Amino acid sequence: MVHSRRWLGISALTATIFVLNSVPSLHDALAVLYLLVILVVARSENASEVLGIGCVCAVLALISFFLKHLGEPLSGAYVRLGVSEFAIGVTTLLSHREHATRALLSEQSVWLALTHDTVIIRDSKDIIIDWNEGASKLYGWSRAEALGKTSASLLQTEFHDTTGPDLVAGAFWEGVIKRRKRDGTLMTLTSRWRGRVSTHGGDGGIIELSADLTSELRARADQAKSEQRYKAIFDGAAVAIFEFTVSGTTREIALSAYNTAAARLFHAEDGGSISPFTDMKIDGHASFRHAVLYAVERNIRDELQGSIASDSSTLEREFLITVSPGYAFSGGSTVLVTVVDISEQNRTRRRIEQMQADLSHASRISALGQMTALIAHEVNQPLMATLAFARSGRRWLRRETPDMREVEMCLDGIVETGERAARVIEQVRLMSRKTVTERERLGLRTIVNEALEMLASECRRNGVRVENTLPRGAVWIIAARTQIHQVLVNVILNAVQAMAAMPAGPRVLTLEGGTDEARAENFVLIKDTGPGFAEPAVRSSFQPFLSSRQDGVGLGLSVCQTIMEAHDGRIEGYNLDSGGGCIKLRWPKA
Amino acid sequence: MTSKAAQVETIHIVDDDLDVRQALGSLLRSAGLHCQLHADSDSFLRAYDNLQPSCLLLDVRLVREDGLEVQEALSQQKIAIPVIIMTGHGDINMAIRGMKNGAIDFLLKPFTDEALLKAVEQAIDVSRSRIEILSFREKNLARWARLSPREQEVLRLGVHGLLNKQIAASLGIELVTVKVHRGRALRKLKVNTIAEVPAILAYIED
Repeated sequence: MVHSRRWLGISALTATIFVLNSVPSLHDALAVLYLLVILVVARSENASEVLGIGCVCAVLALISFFLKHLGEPLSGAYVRLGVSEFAIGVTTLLSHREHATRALLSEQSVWLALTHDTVIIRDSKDIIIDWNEGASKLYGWSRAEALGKTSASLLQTEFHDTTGPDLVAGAFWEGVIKRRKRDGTLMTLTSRWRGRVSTHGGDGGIIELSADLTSELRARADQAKSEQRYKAIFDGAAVAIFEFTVSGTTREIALSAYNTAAARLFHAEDGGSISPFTDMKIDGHASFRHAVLYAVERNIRDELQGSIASDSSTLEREFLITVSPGYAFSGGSTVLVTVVDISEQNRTRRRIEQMQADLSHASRISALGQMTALIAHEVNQPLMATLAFARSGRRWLRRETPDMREVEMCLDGIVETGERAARVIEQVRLMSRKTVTERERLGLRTIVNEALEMLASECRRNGVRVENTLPRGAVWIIAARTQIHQVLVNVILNAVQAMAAMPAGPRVLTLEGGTDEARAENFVLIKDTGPGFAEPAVRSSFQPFLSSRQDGVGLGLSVCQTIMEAHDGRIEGYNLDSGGGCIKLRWPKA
Repeated sequence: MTSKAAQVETIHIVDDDLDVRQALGSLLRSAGLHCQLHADSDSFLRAYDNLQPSCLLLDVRLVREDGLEVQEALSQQKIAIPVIIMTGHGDINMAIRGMKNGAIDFLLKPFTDEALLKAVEQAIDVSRSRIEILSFREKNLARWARLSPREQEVLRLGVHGLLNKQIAASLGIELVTVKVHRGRALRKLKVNTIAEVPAILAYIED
C-alpha cells in the first residue's frame, strides 16, 4: 500500500514537472526540478530503480524540449537542455552509488548483529553506543540496558598483563581479557579492538569483537592435564611399555615411543638404541613382528612369554609380553606392548615345585626307612633268641654229662621264638593287604593324566614333551587309586630321568593304551626316547634294592611289581626297536 | 673261673625281651656261669653287689630307657661294673659312644656263643682285678687309719726321702723318738721297709 502510494506521488510529481516544462511560456530551466524526483527515489532500497527514474526524467526533459523548440535554430535553449540533461545524469549516478554504499553498510550491520561474537562500539568516553545480539547473549545485559553505560562499570574488564590499550584511530589490539557476566561469573575472552575514526575526524572510541574462551581454555587445560597424567604413568611405570604404529597398507611396524623402564630393559637408559624387533624372542612366534601383527590383525589382546637376546644378565630372564592393539588413525593404528620380567616368579615357582617333589620323595623314603627299621627290629629280636637257644642247647649236649632238661628248655625256646617271628611277618603282611582293599572304577586316561599332572614340573624342567594318545573314557580298570598313581609316577619318573641323563636328542614321553580283546586285558604303554634298558637290567630292574641311580632306593619297580600283582596285573619292561625303553602295564579287563 | 671259692661271678643280663633274656641265660648257664636276668636297670641296681666279681650284659634298646644312658648313669654313680653292650643295629656311632664310656665290648645281635663267652670272661677278669684293687685299698686304708697323726707325719716325710735326722729337725723332736714312731708305723701297716709305703699311699689317696 505504502509502496504504491509512494509511486503514485512520484508519478504525479514527475507528470507535473513534465507539464510545467512543456508549457512554452514557462522557462526551460524547470527541467532541473526532475532532480527532486531522482533524490526522492534514491531513498528507496532498489538501486536499479534510481537508474530507471533517471533515464525516464532525461527522456521527459528531451520530449518537453522538442515540443517547445522543434525546428528552431541552434540557440540558448539547446544549452539549457544540455545543462538539464547533464544535471539529471550526474544526480542519477551519484544517487545510485550512494544507494549501493548504504545497502552494503546495512548488510554489514545485520551480519554483525547476527554474529555469535560480541560486537560492542564505545565512544571516546567509553560509553557504549552499540551492542549486538551476541553481546546480549554472552554478558546477559540487553541492548537497551547496555547502551549509554560505560564498559568499565558494566563489564569490569581486567587485562591479562597490561592495563589495556590506548588506541588511536585506526590502531589495532588483540589479547585475552577477563570480564564479568551480569550474574557475576568471571569469564575469559579473546578480544580484538580497533580504534574508530569519529565523524568529525578525531578519536571515535573503540569497536571491539570478543569471544568466550573459558570453556575452550578449560577443555584445553583438561586435555593437558590428562596428557600429563598419561605421560607420568607411561614414564613412571615399572613395566616396560612400547608404542608402535602399524601402517594400514604396508603393515610396516615402527617404534613410536617407549618409557624409561623399556630403555632400562635394553640397557639404553643413557640414550642408546633399542631394537625390539631383532632382540625380542617370543615363544610360539617366528619373530616379534609376527607376534605384533598377529594381535593387530585379530584385534586381540595377546599375552605371551619370551626372552631378550641382547640380555647380558647372567641368569636367563623370562618376560611376560602383552600386545594390545591401541587406537586407529588415518593410515594405520597403534599397538601397546608391555614387557614384565617374570623370571623371579618363575624361578620361585620352580624352586617350590622342586622342593615339594624332594619333600614327597624324602617323606616316602623316610616312611619306608621307619617301616623297614621297625620290621627289622621286630624280627631280629626273636631271631636273636632262637639262635641263642640253639647254641645253648648245643653246648648242653656237648657237656661230658649232657643235661637233657636244659636241652629241652632250649628246644622249647627255639620253637616259641620261631613262632613269634612268624607272627610278626604275618602281621606285616596283613597290614599291607589292608591298604590294597579300597578299590574303585578308574578311567585309564584319567588316572594317567593325574599321574602326569603330578610330574608336570619334572617333565617341564627336563624338557620332556608328553604325547598322550590314550582313548578318552572308554577304558576302565578296577584298582586302588593311590597305588596305581604310585606305579605310574614311578614308571614315568624313571622314563623322564632316563631321558634327562641323555646328552642330546628329542625327549618324548609317549603314553598309549587301550584294550587287548584277545587277551581280555587293558594296558598302558609308557615309551621313552632314553637309552633303553641295559639287557641284564631289564630283569634286575624289578629286583628289590637294586638301583641304577645314585639316589634311587631300588624299591621303585619292585614295589610296582608287587602292586601290579596285587591287582592281578603285570608289569613288563622291554626295549623299543627305535631305541628307548617301554614299560607295559596290564590289568585284566574290568 | 671259680678260682676263689668265696667269690661267685654273677653275669647280670638287662634286656626287655624275655625270650632273649632266657636264651642268653641258658647259654651262660651251659658255660657254668651264674647269671641274673633283669627286664630293666632298676632290677639290676637292686641286685648289684660291688664286692662280688660281676659284669653287665646291657641291651641298648630297652622299652622305657636307652641302654647307653643307663651305662652313663652307672659311671656317674661310680658303679664300676664292666659293661658289655648288645644291639640289634650295627650303629658305629653308638659303638663309639659305648666304648668311650668304658664298655668292655660291643656285641651285634645275633652273636655267636664264642663271642659272648669271650667277652664275658674278659669282663669278669676286669671285675675281679677291680675288686682286688678295691680290697687292697680298703685293707690299707684301715691300717693307715690306725696310725697316730705323728706316725703318719713321720712316714710322709720319710717317703719324701728325708733322713731320720732331718725329720727330727723339721718336726722339732728327738732322733730317738722319730725312730720309735717309724718302727711302730711300719709294723701297723704290715710292711718291712719304707719303700713299700708309697704304693699304699698312692692307692688310698686318690
